[in-house]
Amino acid sequence: MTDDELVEAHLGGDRDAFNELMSRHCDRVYALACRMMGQREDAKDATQEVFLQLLRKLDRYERRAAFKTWLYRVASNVCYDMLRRRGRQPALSSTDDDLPFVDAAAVEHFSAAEARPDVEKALARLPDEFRIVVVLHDVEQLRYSDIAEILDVPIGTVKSRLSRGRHELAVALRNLLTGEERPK
Amino acid sequence: MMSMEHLTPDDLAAFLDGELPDDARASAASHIAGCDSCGAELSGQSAVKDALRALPRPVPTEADRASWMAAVSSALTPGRVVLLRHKKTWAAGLSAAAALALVAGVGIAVVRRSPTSAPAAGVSTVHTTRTSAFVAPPPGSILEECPPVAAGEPLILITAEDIAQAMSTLRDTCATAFTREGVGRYRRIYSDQLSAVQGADACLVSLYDQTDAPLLPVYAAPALYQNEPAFVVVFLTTFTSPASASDRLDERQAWVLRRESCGILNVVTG
Repeated sequence: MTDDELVEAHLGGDRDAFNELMSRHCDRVYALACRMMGQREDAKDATQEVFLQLLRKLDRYERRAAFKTWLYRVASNVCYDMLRRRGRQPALSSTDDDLPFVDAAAVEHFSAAEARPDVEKALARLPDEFRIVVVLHDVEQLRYSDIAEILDVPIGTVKSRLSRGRHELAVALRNLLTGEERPK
Repeated sequence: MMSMEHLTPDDLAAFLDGELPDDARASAASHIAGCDSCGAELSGQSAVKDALRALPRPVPTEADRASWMAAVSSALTPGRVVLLRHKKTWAAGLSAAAALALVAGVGIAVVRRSPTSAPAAGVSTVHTTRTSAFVAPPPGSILEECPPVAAGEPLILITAEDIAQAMSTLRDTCATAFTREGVGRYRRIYSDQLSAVQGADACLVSLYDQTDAPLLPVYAAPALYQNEPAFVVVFLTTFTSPASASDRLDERQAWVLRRESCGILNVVTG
């Protein structure tokens, strides 16, 4: 059965349908939550909350986008809300249009394999609104248009947050690899 | 155009990701081939992208999956109610008129009940877990997080009917007395917010102002305190982020006033 068929079945009273949906997608949601929350326990809580919300909202799923896209949307919102409550206010602002041109000299190459712990550390330190885009694209490998739909922002914003996020990661990684702490 | 001018980091990202339109892609490629600056920026972005793709994918344990399944099963089971427990003796009954208050964005029900109340019919399992939606009160607030429920402590169960009655009164109060300016713009009635709570279906009315939502508990507490110790159930409505006028309520959060030792229980009947 497709995801949409499972949604239909669930709404029609099939109690196993939702469990099947959850089995299919919980790893995906958990992976996203880990990257967004930065802590395993928070990611577990977030994953549970995503599926509880899904349960309550499934009758509002309009099928304008693929179920997976909609699921990511719910998951992103849950992570945002939890981060906000945890005290890390996502800085959603209009500053995307004011980004400085990336200084190419600031970017140094690094080996992906040896830098893995640093990559995770740097990713966790990215501002939330950049991290979500970087994770959805570079980790989850979604298209710009899907990310725009998930986050309810224009594609231009996706592009700019992605390039800005990558740049900040490159700078942070360079600092981490050379033993400097990234300035707060 | 593009072959003459430097590409922006955004366009380089789109080039790297295959998201540039075909015509722009050709001219971008031509420019990058002859431009060290853009080439370096592209390589930098590419290196970060490769590093992110190389990250190991976090995988939940079987215990994690089982725990999520259990939570969902519990939510799928009819008869789930949200209860409070308290050790003190209270006057029996519900003093709704004195105890209900409404502050922008929050539906507040203050429920008092005798400790001799029988547990809700059919209660078979008491979970003392606090949901992930529980929020620690802000520093300095008169609210504080409840201590964990200790094993063996006597419980007072507030039934779903109590909540239903309180919420019904709240709805009436709201409909007749609530005129606070500024909230009207966002005024909505959500009857589905407590749809998972047996006996409380379609009985919760809530107003909220998205702009004030994070501060609402601070506003709410003094408004309803009235020098009377009581159970306080605050259904704080939250919104998804990024917030928009069309966001629906999607979470239920419970707060309790300090002073008393109290907790939040999920009771599953069946």
